Amino acid sequence: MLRIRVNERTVEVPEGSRVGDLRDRFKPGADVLVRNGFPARAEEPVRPGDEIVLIRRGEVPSAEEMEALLVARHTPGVHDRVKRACVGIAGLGGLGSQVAVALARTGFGRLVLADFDVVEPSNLNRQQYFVDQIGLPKVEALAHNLRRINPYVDLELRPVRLTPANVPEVFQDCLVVVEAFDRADQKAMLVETVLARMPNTWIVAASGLAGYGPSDAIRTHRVAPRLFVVGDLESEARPGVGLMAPRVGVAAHAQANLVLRLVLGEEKASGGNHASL
Amino acid sequence: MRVRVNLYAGLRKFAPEGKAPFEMDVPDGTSLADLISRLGIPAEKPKILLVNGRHADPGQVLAEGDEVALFPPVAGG
Repeated sequence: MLRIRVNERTVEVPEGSRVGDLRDRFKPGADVLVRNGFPARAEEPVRPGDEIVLIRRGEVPSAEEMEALLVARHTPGVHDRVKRACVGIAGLGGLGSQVAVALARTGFGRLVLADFDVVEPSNLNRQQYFVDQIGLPKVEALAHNLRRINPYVDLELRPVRLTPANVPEVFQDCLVVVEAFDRADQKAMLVETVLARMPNTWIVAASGLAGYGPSDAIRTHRVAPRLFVVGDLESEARPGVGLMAPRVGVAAHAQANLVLRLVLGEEKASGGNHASL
Repeated sequence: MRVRVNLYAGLRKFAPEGKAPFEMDVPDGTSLADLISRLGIPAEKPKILLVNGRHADPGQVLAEGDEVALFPPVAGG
């Protein structure tokens, strides 16, 4: 018998099997055959240790198949914790929409998406929307895009203006809240509200990511035990210093990676208010 | 009494010798607003006020050993 992997699962098949035999057994009707990362022909022989992927073009993977590929990429222990996590995202602009995409791809179980805005043409320079979504509420447009990536993420859509009165309710189930607002006063409002009224929730904020300064100036700062701020802390969005996809993306993905680290227990509880990561 | 102060980003220039965090002696009964004023920081600049890692109002009276952090978020997202 040959020990190989077919669609992310380890299987044993008879010596002399060909790729077409695997298609007939594991995915009849598959029209795309991939062997070790390259397109394969049905008559190609299979060798021990091969990684075979069989695809029916246009078919959405089942929940089990999606689960299997995430487990294979991330390991079962990591996937299990990520899948059980609920994360809130406040603001679905350049930061929030990219954080959401990264977390959906990673297989986070539940995302609470809050924004009352609609997609405008000027958003397309950095936000995860498309021209045919201009004018749609951002929560709806982003949910549509995320479901095209991973249809099994549980999305809770909150098209509301966040205030100190509703933040604790909107994000009540979230282990982490991502601050992804544009305006400085809104950033402060969210940080204050989470720190004052949600004692078991981390907040991952961002400040200082406009323009095209060095990527490496964007760092993760632990300002308080439950408050992290990603950014260079200085580069304010203003006329002449715009928000641009590459640097906003660096900050957004630093936020997403920090969320992942928090969920996986990689950030120790700390009392310091000045440590940098 | 002695408190520990951390200033972030554009507020750091108000730190004695320009370095933060630092320790500072203040009279008993000093509030967070008093401390901000004592450092010469315009009251509207720090938007996020923390004492011992928790959100604090400007009127909060400080205690010996408190850790104060002042943070001015900038726009962009």
